[in-house]
Amino acid sequence: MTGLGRILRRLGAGVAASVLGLSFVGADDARRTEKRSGFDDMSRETQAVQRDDTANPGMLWVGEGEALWNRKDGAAAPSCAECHGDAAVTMRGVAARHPAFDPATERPIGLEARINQCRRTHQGADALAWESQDLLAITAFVARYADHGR
Amino acid sequence: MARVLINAPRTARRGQIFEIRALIQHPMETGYRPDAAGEVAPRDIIRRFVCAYDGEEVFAAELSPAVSANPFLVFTAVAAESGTLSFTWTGDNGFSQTETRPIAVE
Repeated sequence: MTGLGRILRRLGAGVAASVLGLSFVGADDARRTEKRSGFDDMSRETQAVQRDDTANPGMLWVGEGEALWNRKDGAAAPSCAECHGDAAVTMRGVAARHPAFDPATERPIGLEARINQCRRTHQGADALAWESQDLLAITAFVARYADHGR
Repeated sequence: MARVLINAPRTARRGQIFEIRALIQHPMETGYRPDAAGEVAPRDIIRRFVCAYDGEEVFAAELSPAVSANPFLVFTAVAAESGTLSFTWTGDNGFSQTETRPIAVE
């Protein structure tokens, strides 16, 4: 085959491939944006078990966390509720966005560390010990509202 | 006061069998666990759980160190009259807690 013929064939193949490639990329995008939780595929009985807060011992920590959220440590320091108000509104989706990159420290920061950072800078309180009952409780309470709407 | 999660229906039809779920916050220390230093923490568990329906005992359980922390109990009762369900946990070191839930039977 002549050189020109070979070039034209390659161009034609390239054009055809790019057309096909575009359509494949479109299908991938559609699959990526169509997010479904495994919850949707569960039977109704299993969904009821998932929703039952009274059978979930994690709710004990959420209850503790709610008390800590509203508690005021000393007159000068604000409680979490004073700045953030109703956690069901202000903390919605927050847990799902952590760990996030913190521009202040220029490092990734997880939810527990973010809560401790807030305590140190805004409440003038000591950071809570890692894996302590108090920190687990506040984190569980904030994470309670991680998903939107369910 | 330990935190408690109770799932009991508020209403029931007469003669209906309904399910009650009760979870209480308690470490249920077995008395066999050595910590990192080798010290064994003394036993501290809930010993007995009683559910009374208008004062009459309808369910009782004896808990042992084999029961895990934050014990979760599920049991059923038959709806007879409108009244109060009372749940009582008693255990070591004078632990005693009672919760009540009203139930309306039509």
